[in-house]
Amino acid sequence: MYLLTIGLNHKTAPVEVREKLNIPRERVGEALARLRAEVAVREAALLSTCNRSEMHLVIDDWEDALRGATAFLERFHGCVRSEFEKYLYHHVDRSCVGHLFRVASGIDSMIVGESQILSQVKAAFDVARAEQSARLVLDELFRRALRVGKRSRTETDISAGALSVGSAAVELAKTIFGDLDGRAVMLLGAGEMGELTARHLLDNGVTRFLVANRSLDRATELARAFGGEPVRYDTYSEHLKDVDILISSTSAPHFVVTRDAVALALRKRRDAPLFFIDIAVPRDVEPAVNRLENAFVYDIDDIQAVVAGNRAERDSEVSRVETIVEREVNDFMRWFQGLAVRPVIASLTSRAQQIRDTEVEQALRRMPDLSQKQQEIIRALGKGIAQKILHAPIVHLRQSSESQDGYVEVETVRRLFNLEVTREEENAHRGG
Amino acid sequence: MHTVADRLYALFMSGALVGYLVVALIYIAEIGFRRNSLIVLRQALLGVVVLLHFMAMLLFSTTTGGPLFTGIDGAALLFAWILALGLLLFEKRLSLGALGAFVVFVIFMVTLYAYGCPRAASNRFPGLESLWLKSHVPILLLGFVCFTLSACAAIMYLLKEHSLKHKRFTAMSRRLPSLPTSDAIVYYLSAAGLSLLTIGIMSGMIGQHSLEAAYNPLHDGKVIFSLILWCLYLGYFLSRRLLGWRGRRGNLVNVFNFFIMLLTFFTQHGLPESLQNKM
Repeated sequence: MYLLTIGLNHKTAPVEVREKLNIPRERVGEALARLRAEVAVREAALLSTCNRSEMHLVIDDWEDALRGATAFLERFHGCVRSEFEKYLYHHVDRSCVGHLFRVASGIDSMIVGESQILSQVKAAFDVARAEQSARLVLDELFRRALRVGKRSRTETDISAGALSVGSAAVELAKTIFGDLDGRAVMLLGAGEMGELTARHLLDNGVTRFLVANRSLDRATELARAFGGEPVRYDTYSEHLKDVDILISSTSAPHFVVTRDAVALALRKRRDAPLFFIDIAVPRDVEPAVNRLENAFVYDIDDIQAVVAGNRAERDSEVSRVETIVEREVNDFMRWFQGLAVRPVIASLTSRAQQIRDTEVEQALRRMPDLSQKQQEIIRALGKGIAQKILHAPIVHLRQSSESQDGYVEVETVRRLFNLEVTREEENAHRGG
Repeated sequence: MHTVADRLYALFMSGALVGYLVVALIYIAEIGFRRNSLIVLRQALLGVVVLLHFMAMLLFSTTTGGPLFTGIDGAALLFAWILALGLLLFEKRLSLGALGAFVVFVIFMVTLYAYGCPRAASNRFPGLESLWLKSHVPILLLGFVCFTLSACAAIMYLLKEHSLKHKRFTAMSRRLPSLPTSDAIVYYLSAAGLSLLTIGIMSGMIGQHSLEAAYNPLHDGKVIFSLILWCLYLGYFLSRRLLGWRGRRGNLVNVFNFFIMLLTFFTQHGLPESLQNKM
């Protein structure tokens, strides 16, 4: 029994190939059913996102499964194998486990540490369970993958820090104000970037939105779109006292927001903090404003520096996530290799029990005069001898299942004791 | 010659001091490594250390044969213990992990001071059989605990504000609470501390007066120090309410007041009796 992952992602395939092999969410169930009907797999799960399409399989012969899965992709997506085959990667056993754990933790994503992938892995797992194609092995594998994803995000800073100007503005605003619920924002100048930043803030709980623009019509239009209030451009400073965040993106060639205007607004606000996001070039907010107590000014370079710092910090966290992944892979592999040993131990125990019963009963028939108590002693003797002989090989088998080459030991024991493990027995012990 | 109680006291105090140090180190480690196991370990350890500290206080009280707070060492012990208990009970509820790092440092320093304080030099207060005076010291200590926590939150505010102004973000600055959160903690704890200080001063004056009819509070060093402190915190409170002094200015004032509070605490408890009553 092997674990196999076949797929492609943003690192191996261009977008035109990825979109061909993408499976829409509503068709994943159907794809799973067809895959199990057409290819010899014990268990299967499909993970399909805009950046990756992967099959996670439990199979008996990985070369056959690899061929079968490639043919399935060709048939299911109605495309020619040569169009995608060279972009495919595959991982077997340990490498497969490590790959899924890295995917779930976000370190294999295009944006390192992004959190959406974890919900996509969970969705893939849910569909596979609903289709009853994730049983013992994939059930355990995906549960552990989700745990790795959560651990990575809570125990490291892999998903900390925003990576776009809009989300960095929200992050900074939250750093200053904590909760954004009930906060007011003013957009000064109706540029595209400013509008995008305002949308981010409004999506994060800002409740009041004012727009000031040279063209009042444009301000009114934008205010209507966001459910806000238009403000005359030349009166914006009168409203400064009522807002907590000012996004400035005018095309004015000079400073629009002056130190004096802000100092006056702060006094009227009784020194409540005021956050300025100046994304205009040339800058709109006079740098001296940042020297005022309770005024925090971030221009576009500052925000981009925050984004770059966050990106660098996420990159530096990858090694810590790898440590978590490595430990979890070891744990999983111990569990997985233990599955291979279970049917062999059961077969060995059953063989010993059979021999013991035959020999003991034969001996008892030759001694008909023995009392009931004496017969019990002979039976206990047989049981004790068998148990003591088997103890060392069973312990050794269990220990060997934790090592990389455990299967060699398993095969040796099988040959030594001439054990035949039927598929039914194996399934019974592996829950297949 | 050391008695068994003395030896046990030394043992529990050493255990508590090492424990506080380890708790402080775990807090620092949490800034870099967020692990649930670290948080659980820290909370469990703090619980054990608070218990050790309590046992040490009981032994201290047994060996001195009177209430804990009749000398500077006992008062410092009780003060540090209330602070540690407050941290244990409220830190998790308020989710202010970073605050703990500051508070444990203060607890460690005060406990170390109490332990290192020579017993012979410690000053035992007379007249504590009066109910007014018995309640006076614990109320004041609770007030000082509020001021200490408030100063820790003010330091957090100043660190956060500095990092935001200078656009330099570190793992530690990220873990600090937002500015309004710290500011609100500073304000409410200072208000609570001021109320307790007011009650404490009044109960002290009434108690002293009941012992000594000719008592003049303006000739009492302890009262003068406490009144100066009361004026400083009232000043902070009024400037914040009336002038809107929030942010850096208000928090700097709060940290300054805290140092005056420490000075008040250590000087008035350490003052020779002649100076305390006849300053």
